[in-house]
Amino acid sequence: MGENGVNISPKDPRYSEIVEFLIQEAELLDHGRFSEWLELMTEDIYYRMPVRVNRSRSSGPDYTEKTEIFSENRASLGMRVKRLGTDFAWSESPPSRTRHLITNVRVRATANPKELEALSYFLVYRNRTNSSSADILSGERQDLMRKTEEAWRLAGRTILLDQVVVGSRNLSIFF
Amino acid sequence: MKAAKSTSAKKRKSVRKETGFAPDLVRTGEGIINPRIFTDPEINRQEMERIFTRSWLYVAHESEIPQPGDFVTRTMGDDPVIVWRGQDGKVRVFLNVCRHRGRRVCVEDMGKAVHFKCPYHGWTYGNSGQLISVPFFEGYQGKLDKELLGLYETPKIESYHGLIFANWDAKAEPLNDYLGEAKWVLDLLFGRTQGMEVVGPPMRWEADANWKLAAANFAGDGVHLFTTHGFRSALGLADKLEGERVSYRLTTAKGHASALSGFKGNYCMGLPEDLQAEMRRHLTEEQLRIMGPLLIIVGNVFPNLSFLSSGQHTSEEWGGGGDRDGLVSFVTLRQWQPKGADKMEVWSWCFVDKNASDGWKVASRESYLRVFGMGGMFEQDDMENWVDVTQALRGPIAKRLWLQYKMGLGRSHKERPIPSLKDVKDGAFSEDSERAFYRYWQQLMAQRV
Repeated sequence: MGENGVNISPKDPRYSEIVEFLIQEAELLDHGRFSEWLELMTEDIYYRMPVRVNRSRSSGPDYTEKTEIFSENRASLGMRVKRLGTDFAWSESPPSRTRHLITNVRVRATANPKELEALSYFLVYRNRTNSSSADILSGERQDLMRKTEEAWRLAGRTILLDQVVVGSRNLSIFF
Repeated sequence: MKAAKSTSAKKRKSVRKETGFAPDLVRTGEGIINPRIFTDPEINRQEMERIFTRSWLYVAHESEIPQPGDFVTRTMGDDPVIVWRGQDGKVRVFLNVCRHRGRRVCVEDMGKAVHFKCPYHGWTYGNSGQLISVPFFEGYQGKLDKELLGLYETPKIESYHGLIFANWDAKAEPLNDYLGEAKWVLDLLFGRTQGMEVVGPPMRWEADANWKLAAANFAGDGVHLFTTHGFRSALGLADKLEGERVSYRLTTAKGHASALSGFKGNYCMGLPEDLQAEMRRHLTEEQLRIMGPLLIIVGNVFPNLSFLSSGQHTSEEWGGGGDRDGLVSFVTLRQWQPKGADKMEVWSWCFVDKNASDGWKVASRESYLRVFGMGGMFEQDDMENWVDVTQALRGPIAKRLWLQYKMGLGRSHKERPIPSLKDVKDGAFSEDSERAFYRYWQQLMAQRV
């Protein structure tokens, strides 16, 4: 993922704008402000999570887009958010407690001057019900950021978790 | 009457003494089950032996390994296996354990190989399982017989519509007999067109839940839909399909069960016209007649292979559309792999009709992952139930109570609503499918291997 392109300098104002965006976004996710989270997205957003596979290095990438846990657009993300707002979203009722820790941000130019590629690592902590143990999900995101008239918006996100067998009963949270 | 009762009590006692399993934890005649079967590690240990070493277990679909050398790695109960197509085109299933010192000889999930070399000491096996070479072989001075130390192969492997099943029991009945009338239902999904193909590798995840809760739920629990998946109604999604309900329930003596349901009309799982035309060539007239109103086909092949096809409107608000009246359906297979009494690993695959248009394939796959799989809006809540049940039943008081599976007991039914099937009844809501699952489970558990 995202091996091409040159990182823009952290001193470039666009770098801090993107970091600021990602941190604000994490705040919305961790505080259950999902409708506001949706507002950060462009109308044509894609939101994908391919599965990981165990393969030798010579056999190709260790993930596959043939199977995806998420392959969403704006409308389907909207439906997921609406669902969470009902009293029947049992997987999030009461809600999970999450922390999205976003690090190792790299921002790269793309062919489109209005768009940047933002790569980041995440560590998502998820705790539910009365268990003291938690799901700890790490991985990386490859985001496509677009500067609109209002502000930076998320135009695309591909998420790679670091587990083939995902250690969580479901993924009713967002990344 | 009294005498008969005491004889069966005596029998239960002797089964318990001989096998260490108390058969009266499951009382399908009364429609009650003791929670211990979901939480007791000893019962789990027994079921790994008694269920998983002598049942036909699903291992792969032929479309996953189409060419000679293609393999996937899977598990049969607790045992790791390789499903491998030999140079001769024949599929075999091997225990993924080196005959020398027990390391897995194949550590990839899928791929193509003419041989596997054990990463420990280098014993090398060909893709019909034969032991080809052993480093420093001369050091054994003739005491090692390579002929006898090929990869350990399941004595039985058979397939139905490309679904490959294997069995460790050399005396097992043929798959055909084992599946029985469940084949008729599998036809509606896997035999309706020229063939189904797997969309990609499975999603895999772990949940702290007993595997049987999932298998029995898929066997035909239609009631949970209205509460567990109540968000559908809350968001007004359930009202789009309504009418006079049409339902059938299959329950077989081998523990397989299925529920078919829909509404009067011609929905045919939302399949597009080209696939329906193909279907008319592959299914019987009776199957076509039943398919007409169907919107849900769900079931479980005993022990742990569940199948589901479900049609729904994927209008704009769901973020995608089929190409027929906004209705689209998907086909999924899922396997509940026990990992102890209180944990399972879920494997979930999506299938599409090989000859379907690209547009239908995309819509079908997307409708699957929106509602099933790890992130699916239905499956999320199913998992929450099964984890919660497994945890809540741990205490000694909870285990004194009995869980209720009485719905449909003693109900009278229309004679053979599907004339060619003797194991099918009409009606949407019953717990007969769970009773069928646990009845056969109990039967196997009460016999030592």
